[in-house]
Amino acid sequence: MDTSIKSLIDKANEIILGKDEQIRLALSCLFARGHLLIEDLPGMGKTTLAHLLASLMGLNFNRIQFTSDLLPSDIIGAAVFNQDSGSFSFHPGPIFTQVILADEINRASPKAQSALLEAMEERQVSTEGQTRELPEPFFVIATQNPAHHIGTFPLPESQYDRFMMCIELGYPSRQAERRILTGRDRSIMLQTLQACISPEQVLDYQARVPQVHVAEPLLDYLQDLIDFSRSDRIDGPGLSPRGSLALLRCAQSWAFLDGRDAVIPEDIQAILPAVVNHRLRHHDDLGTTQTHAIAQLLIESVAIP
Amino acid sequence: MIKAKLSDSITPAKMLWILLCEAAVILPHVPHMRIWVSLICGLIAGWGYLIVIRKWRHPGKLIRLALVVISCVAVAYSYDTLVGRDAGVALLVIMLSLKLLEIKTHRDVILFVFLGYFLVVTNFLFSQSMGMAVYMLFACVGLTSTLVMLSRHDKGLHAVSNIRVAGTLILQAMPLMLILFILFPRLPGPLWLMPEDKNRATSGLSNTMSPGEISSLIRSDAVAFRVKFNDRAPSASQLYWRGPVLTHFDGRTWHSRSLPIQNRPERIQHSGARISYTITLEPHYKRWLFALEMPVKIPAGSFIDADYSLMANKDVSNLIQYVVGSHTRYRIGNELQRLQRRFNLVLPPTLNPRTRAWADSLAQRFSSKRERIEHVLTQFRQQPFSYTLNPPLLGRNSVDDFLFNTRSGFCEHYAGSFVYLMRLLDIPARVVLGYQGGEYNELGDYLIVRQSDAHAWAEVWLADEGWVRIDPTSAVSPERVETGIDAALPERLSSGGLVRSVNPLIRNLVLYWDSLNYRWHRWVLGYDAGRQRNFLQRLGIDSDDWQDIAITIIVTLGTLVLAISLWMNLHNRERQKDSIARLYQVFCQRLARIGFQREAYEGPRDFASRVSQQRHDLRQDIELITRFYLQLRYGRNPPEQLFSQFRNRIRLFKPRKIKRSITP
Repeated sequence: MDTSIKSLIDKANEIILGKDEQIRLALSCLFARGHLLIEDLPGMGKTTLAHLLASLMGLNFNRIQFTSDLLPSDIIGAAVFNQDSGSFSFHPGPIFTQVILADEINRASPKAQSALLEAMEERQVSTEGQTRELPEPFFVIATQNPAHHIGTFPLPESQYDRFMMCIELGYPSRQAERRILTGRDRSIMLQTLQACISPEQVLDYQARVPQVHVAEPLLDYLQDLIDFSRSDRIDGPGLSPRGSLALLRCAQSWAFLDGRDAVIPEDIQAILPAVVNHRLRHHDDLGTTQTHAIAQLLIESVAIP
Repeated sequence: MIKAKLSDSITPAKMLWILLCEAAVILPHVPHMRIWVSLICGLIAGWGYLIVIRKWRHPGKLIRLALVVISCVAVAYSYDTLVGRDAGVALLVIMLSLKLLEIKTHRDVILFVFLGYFLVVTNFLFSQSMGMAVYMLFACVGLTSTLVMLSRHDKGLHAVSNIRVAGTLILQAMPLMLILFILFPRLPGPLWLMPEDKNRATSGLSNTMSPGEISSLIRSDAVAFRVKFNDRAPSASQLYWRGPVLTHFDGRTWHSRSLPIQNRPERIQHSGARISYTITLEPHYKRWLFALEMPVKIPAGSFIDADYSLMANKDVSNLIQYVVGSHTRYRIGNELQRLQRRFNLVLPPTLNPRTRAWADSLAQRFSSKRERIEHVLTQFRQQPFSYTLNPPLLGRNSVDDFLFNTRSGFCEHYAGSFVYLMRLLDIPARVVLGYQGGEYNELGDYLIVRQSDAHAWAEVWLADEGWVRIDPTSAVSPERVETGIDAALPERLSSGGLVRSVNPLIRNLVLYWDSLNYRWHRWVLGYDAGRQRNFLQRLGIDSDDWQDIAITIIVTLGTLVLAISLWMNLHNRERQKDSIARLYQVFCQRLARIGFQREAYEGPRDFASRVSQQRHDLRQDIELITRFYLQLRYGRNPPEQLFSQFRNRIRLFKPRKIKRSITP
């Protein structure tokens, strides 16, 4: 295994305490060229995680706070009239960066949301008849408050599919909380943090993830899972092909982070909740229900061939 | 002495199998061995079996030596020799049986099996038929299955699966065999040529003819030769296959007495279209080659003798193939030398007075030779002569007896008495032996000529025409020549040979079988140095250049071995994949027995760590097996030897429940 990945994870664990699994999930999502949605209450360390990942990999980092009056041009940028040259010139918005934290994405209007989501998908921005490439790697970490919070525009299901993973951070353990309370200020620690890997390495890892070996029996297992999600034992629509591809890539990425060159069933089981829960979530009047249970049901219902 | 290891011991079941193999190997030799040899083999086999089941002592060195000496003496006494085909094989068979008495370990069995292989090969010295080849193949499978049995670790016999493995092995060896068969340089002579045994019984024409000789031959349905015509076959009445020519009569028997000169084919004047054909001749241990009258284009290694018979340079002691071109319209013997004339007129004096008297009266009545011939043939036609397979016996004056008393006979009677008459009438004449007609096999588009088609006819010399063929039999029984022996002799049919059965199904089966045999002869047994050269030339290989041949053999064999190993590798991989999952199942079952049930959805690594947490003593094994399993089942190109390591680990993995010690 690449020692730099190990040190990367170790470093991250020093700052965000007791969240090893979430850090790994976030990293596998990044290396699988996906975007990450963090769904949790305010103040749980979402921003810290995003900032941390950017710093550790030496990537540029921007943060956009989504509000109800946010406009697409606030994200993408706008053409501004330059009086010296007498012409319009484009002022790139905060999206032109490598890691972008879209904070409280469900507070903005659907119009602003879709501007971001389109950029995520296309990895480019088109304004005033011009297409501008976004930098590589490009990684969006969006956070949102649980849907039942007041003043939110919940993302439509189709938009959820664009996030490869959706994770929750959750409360820290008692031990971890004690260390947060007694330790140094996390924001200062973040500022003095040295990058562990370079952006080039990130691109290299992203290229290597799809080459992780997936054996026939494992593909069988993957497809059994997908078939089960589409069967009538699960309410609502099943996983889309994009979803199954996301499953595969994340599993490869997870195995890669673990230093292996082949995927094993545990890899799929490990990333399954994060990949499928937000896709199979089925909304009732009150918001979401039993998201964890779906992934758990999938895992426990499908035998490993 | 080293005591045999337990796994190395010969169980009664194994011994029985070995005996069965021995029986299979010896069986085809039984018909041509002396009876006592087979009996001795049976006795020794019984003894060997008793040694194993009753745990008798193996015979000591002295006894074995005595047995060997006795059997050598017995063979030498019974066969008059120790060498040669028959005696040698008998000796080998006895030695193979004696080996049974000293089988103690697997090593002995292996030696036994290799001896057995050799004995199987010796069958080719007796018969090279297709059936024998197939039988030998099965015998080889049986012997090989014995080897398979020995290499198994367990004690069981598993006859069926052993045979299956052996059969697979032999099948896999087939392409190799084919390549060597096609490419390996042929010896110029036949492969199975042996110094001839003198007392070999042969069937077929001989170079003498006495009453009853051909009619005994005619009862045989054995194939004399097969003919493949290049174009259309000539009509039945022209199918005279010329064999030996008999000129000398001693009063009872006609003998061949050819002058030691050779005729050149150019001396045969001919007209009309040439008939080209290939003859596959069964060995008859004589020198003549049969050909349609008259052969003009003759094969290499043959010549035409003074009597216009086609002769090989040496005896036909194995199946041969040759191409001949003949003309049915021909003229031979423009002039007759004095010596030849005398040869073809001489008769023993005094015998057959009535015939002589009749000949004298004919000579006075007809001056022209043509008229004399015609008159004799008319007599044959008009007098109550009959054509029969069972003629009555003839006395001392056989020609008199036949012409005036019995008047029923077979072709040899007619040809013999006709030539006798001609000579009395001062016309040089002789008897020609050969075959007439043949049976057309539509399935293989060739003609089968059997011993039953044997025939004798006459040749007379006329000054302006040379030697002219006259078939007196056709005067008596035209059907014989027009439609064949069965039409002329209905009694042959009722005597019930399968070959000429009227039942169309049986007839077709017989013909089909014959055409299979014909192909076997043509393509397998007839694949000699010449054919090999032709075949290789078509492939662009110069068979005279041994380097070329060697390179071809090496390259083809190399390619073949490579292809097979690649295929086996793939095949094994496939099979291994199945067995990986199965072996892991075994592993899980063993853990379930001690209380660790793996959930269907539980990943191998999760399962391993769950069990390891509770059973630290098993941790190492479980982790190793799980690591192997993951690598084999999900890994990229697992190393070759990993599978066997995995298998061994699982075999050795036998966890036990921990007995709960009662702790206070």
